[in-house]
Amino acid sequence: MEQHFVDALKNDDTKLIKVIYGDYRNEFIFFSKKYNIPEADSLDIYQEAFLAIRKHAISGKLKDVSSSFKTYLFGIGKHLIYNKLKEYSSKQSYDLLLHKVDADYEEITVDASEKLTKEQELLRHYFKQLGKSCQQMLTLSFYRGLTNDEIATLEGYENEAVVRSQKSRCLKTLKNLIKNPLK
Amino acid sequence: MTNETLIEKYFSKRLTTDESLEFQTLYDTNPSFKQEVDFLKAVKTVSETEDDAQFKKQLESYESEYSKQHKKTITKWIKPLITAAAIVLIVFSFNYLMTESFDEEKLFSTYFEPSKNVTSPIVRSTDNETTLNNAFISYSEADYKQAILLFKKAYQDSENSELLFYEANSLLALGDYKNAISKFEEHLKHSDLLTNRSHWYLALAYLKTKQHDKAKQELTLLINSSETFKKDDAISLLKKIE
Repeated sequence: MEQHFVDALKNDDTKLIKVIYGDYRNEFIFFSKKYNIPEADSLDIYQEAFLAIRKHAISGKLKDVSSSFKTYLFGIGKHLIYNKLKEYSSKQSYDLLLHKVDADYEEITVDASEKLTKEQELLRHYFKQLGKSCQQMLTLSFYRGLTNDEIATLEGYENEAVVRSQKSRCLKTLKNLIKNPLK
Repeated sequence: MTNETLIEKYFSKRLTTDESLEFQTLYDTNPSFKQEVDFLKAVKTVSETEDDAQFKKQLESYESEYSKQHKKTITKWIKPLITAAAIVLIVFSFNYLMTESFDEEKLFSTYFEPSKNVTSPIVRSTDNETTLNNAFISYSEADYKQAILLFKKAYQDSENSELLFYEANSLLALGDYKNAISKFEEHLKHSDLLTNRSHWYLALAYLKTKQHDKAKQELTLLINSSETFKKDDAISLLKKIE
């Protein structure tokens, strides 16, 4: 797979992401038309597929993938289109043959994102009250799994000790917000 | 190895087999360690959800650009019609246009950018955890809400009037024009190196809130002062709104 695309998604290279998004957008709408998906839904699906491929890039799943970026993206899209068709079918009958329309792209399954528990929703509420730099610090540390050294290099901190102290301050602020919510 | 390092390696998926075992033992036997790890796991889930939501917003913003372009192409054929209507409109509202021929919103966004930090260079280090340094870090990261709180506190501690200027800039960047205006006015009561610069930002805030006369007055004050900052911009803006 094109490594620079994967890197762009991992490193939030917004310029390149926008170009990639635009490059495959219209073709994907055309692709989903074969499955009788209305344009509004196909755009939602395209965005979901894009989000999913980014998650795979971040988690390292794309490291050993040999197919092209586009094939993988459309494979995820295909999976999401099937889900959409199933959703439609619960409302009205649909042609099962639609499942066999396009053999060019192999379906790639993605995990449906789990809903946050009540406690997690509450934690999200407080997380959003943190400053942008703290949110970024915690996202890089825990979701992206970067080490303190890596964060120091990426974000321009003096050294890993500064990152460590900043991170611990952010966590302390978050815990304080939970204990003493802002009115 | 400290528990902190063990946790860091756990989240970056770099635990060796032995460390994994140590981690698991601690998790099973030490309730406070377990509590901390569970909390951080929840932070992981929440930050992932938030990160996804931000990325989704980014993609949606691309879509709104596409739909604008789409609108442009479908409305191509009515362009001559619009032109004709516009000419009629211009003729009929000539007098009105003479006095109100500028768009405050557009002018504001063209001319406004929060002032650079020219007061105190940022030091990113554990040895410099002062409120002032943190205030300028938040300000440089465009975290204006946090910056406002910290500038307020730093001003209380130091009474350095230049900090009022940055607090007002943060308010203006957040679109809180009313409070930005009163903060710039407060800053103008002091005499420091940045005092005259407040005239420029105050003029922009007045312009944004359609107080044209006051905006003109502030621009004139800046132009007539010895301050060179934004002088050319002030002259061109004044011409546009006169």
